[in-house]
Amino acid sequence: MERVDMSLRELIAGARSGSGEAFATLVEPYLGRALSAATLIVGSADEGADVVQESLESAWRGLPKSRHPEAFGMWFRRQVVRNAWKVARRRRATTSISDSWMDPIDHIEEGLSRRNLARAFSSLGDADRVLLTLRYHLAVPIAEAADLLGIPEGTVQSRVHHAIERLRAAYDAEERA
Amino acid sequence: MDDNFESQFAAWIGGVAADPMETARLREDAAGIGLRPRARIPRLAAAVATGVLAVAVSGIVLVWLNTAGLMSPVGQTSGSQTDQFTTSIAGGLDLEITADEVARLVTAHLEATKQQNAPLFDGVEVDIVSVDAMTFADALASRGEGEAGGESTGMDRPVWLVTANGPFLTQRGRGSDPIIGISGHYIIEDSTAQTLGYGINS
Repeated sequence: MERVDMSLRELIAGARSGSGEAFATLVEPYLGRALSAATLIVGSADEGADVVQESLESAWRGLPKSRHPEAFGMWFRRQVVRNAWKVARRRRATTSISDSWMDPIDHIEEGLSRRNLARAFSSLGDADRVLLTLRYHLAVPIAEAADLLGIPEGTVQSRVHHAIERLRAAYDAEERA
Repeated sequence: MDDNFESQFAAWIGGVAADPMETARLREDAAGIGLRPRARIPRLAAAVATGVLAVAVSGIVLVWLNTAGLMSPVGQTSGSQTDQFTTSIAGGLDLEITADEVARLVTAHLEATKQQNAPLFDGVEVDIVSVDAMTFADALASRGEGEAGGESTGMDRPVWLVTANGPFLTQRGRGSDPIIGISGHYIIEDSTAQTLGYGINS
């Protein structure tokens, strides 16, 4: 554990001193999840990548001023979610999740369910997508989600419940289509 | 889909994975902290075009000084001016770029703009302040900004200042903050500068 902490400190120190490679090593563990989360929220892989780029830029600029570099991962995740949400708000109603997101279809029924899930998810409002991505994709704890969204924990739970209900309704509609 | 909808949804969304190639590209971006140009170049061009248009509308002279001899301070920068510009830098600029690369970028955009609208720069004096490893305050001092009495010609002219902290396009009022400013973030990756980001302060 100590070695990990030291490594993190060294990477942060390196990045702060201007080492791009140290910065890349620092952010690398978070990039995959950041990209998938951003894509889920904005509904476009290209824009998701742009969101992560923006967040990298923010992280690079903010690192020298960071008071709690040990919390870099959480901070970076928040940047990604917030940036993605901003983009999603701007481009509402144009969201569609590519079929390429779906796993290879082992059998038709499961494949159709996944496709319909993806379509149902992409039909949700941006706030629902953000919330569900936070909770189910990033596994962000309720308390952290509440803090990030600026709402009480109970409200998070309630909104998640209602988002799931809307998702279910959208999914059922896809099934009937 | 069975009744356990939530758990199946959780399994689906939890299994959504990013494109490994795109992730690798982002890692490369981070290493170079040189973001791919697709989202950056238009912003850069827009920022420069906006600044240039503002220059034209205001009847301002864009100043371009590019010789080392002009870098030696010819005046003193007042404390208040130093503070103002230090604040500007702290508020948005903290990355490095070589003056030569910024000069190349600026030149390219000025040339492009000139071609699109030739009258814009006809007869306009263009100087470049190319400042490598100098502070913004030093750069101002090198232009004579802040001289006692405040009547140097530079004070009423916009100046493209290329500093270690990035490029600025400023219109200097007497003792005032920049009226027009293009502040940006650039980074040098090996010999090739790539745009990291760009914003407009106006």
